[in-house]
Amino acid sequence: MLEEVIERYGDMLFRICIVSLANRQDAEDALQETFLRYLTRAPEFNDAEHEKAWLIKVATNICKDLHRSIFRNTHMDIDEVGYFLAAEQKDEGTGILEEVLKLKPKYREILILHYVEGYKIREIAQILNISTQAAKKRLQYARDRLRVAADGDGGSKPPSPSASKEEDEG
Amino acid sequence: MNKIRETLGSIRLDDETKGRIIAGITAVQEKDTLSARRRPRTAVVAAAVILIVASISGIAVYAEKAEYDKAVRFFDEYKLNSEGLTRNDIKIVYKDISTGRFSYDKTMDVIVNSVGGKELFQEEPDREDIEALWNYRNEIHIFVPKEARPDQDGVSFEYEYIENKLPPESRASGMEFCWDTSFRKLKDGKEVWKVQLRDFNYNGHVKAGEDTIIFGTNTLYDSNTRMLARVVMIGNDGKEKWVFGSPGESRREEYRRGFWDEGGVTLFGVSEFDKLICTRLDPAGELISHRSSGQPVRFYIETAARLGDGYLVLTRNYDQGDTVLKTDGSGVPVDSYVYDSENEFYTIRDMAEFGGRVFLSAYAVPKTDIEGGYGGRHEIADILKYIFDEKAMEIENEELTKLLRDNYTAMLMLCDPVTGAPKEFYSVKGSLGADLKVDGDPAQPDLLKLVWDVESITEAYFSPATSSFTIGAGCHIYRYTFGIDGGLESQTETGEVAGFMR
Repeated sequence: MLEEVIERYGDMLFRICIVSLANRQDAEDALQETFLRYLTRAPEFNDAEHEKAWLIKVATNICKDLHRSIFRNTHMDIDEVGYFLAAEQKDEGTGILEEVLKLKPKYREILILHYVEGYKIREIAQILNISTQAAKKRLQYARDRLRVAADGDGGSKPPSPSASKEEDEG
Repeated sequence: MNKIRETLGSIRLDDETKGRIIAGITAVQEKDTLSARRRPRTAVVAAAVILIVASISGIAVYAEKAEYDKAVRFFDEYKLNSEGLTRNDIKIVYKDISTGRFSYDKTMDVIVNSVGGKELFQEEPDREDIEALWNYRNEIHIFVPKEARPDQDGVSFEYEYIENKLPPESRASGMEFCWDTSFRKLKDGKEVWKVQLRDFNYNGHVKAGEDTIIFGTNTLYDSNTRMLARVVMIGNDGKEKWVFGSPGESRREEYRRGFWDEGGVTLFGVSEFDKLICTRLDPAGELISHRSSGQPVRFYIETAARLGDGYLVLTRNYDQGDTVLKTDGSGVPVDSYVYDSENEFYTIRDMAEFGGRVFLSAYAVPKTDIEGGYGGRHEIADILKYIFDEKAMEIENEELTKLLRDNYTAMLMLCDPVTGAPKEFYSVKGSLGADLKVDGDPAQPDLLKLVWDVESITEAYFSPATSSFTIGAGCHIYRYTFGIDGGLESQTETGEVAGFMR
């Protein structure tokens, strides 16, 4: 059962942990703790989406706890994070990763949830236990800061109709 | 944003890392202990130590190298920080932890440096707690101020203000009244002496052996006259021994904290809202030194504690947060600390010196995205917004209590004995750190206890008819007692209640 759940969610959760914490050791700690809690404290899930959202919530809370300990190992290592990029992404991806890691963890998390996992604003707000307004603001801020590293979507070109629709739903 | 999606989306867990994680989890499940965790972080270290002690028994006497090797392996396994420790230190710390003795003064530092804050677990309030709170609220309970609580000698102090009508010839600037402070000393509940200090606004006092030094300001001041700091020593016979007035040239000076030793009294205060002042008087009340140091913002002094030959002074400005100033023996700041993290705002409420270290009682609140600063009323900004936006101004007490408990974490912090930099020592969710004091006979320092009060939020309420921007709560007070080695000795629910309002 452990292997199964790691196969299903390991990549996603590891992505959240390593981008949030920005070093391999803390990310492994956080991921291990997340799965331990899954095995010992998980509730009965309504469906797979519920299970996924629960795991994300636990992982982000563990990352938050680690950030709270101000004298934890706070080193950020872009090479450690970049190690886990796909081979074809390593060249250009390292520069983008560098820009992402310049953001505070709460903005990095929302980038992953929205752009990689495809969650909408309201869903992100529920998972992170923040208001919809706060989720919107965080995403807007992260996008603005990353405009330089984006591939033209965030430049002077207006957003595509599908992107606008997502924001409206938020 | 496609590039962001592609880049971040390509991050994958490799097999080696996956294998390590599975092995770690499996080991934990098999042993059912914390020892397999790569780094025991949020779990209570005391619990981890108990498990370690239970699993290491019958330690034989090893040859020095074997003993040292074992200590090093122990440090590696539990990821303890050995920075700055000699070979001998490492062996002693290992023995201390593995036998549960904690007799070596560096052992506590190693634990704090290695695992950061340790969380103390409290149960969530249940129906019985809320019922007890309701019953407590409906009886008549007078909250006893800190200065009125008896110390280990049974001595306590009380004060109140008395309006004093001025004779016509003394009515400067049209003022008819001044305020006097009536101040009395009690021992075992019986009055020892009582004085009425004319035109005196009480700010604090300090015991000077059998005598008492009281400090405050005049009450007859306005934009044209100065606020003058006043200091008076009262003997144990209730008679005034000496009086000392403002030494500075500023328009406004007041003292807030005092320390007594055989050299006299050291008083910390604020001048002109933004200058830290430190005045030292000898036992006869004669001036030894007066130092004034300008700070970048307006502030007031919350409390202070000795640190080695100098002091730590907690200053507060709600927009900027708390700043701890480290000063030398004459009160000149030599360093400053802002305890801040990316996601949390910290408010420090009390300080105490214990076992040669300074401890801070504080609480942490998540930083809000809503503009306006942090601290004070801003602590509940996100909760209020949720009530306005999502709950149409109506919220059940149960839900509000949970939100409030999620918002607050009490912290006990330990300051580095040399630098003064604070580190998280213990934390309690759903609570606010409150009073901190040292109990016991100073003549027996090994038996002294550090007592930390924590206000645990029990029931919160929102009453928009009273105020749309106010949340109140009743808090049960828990008392944590630590021994001189830093170990937690007891946790008691005191039965006392504190109010919470923002």
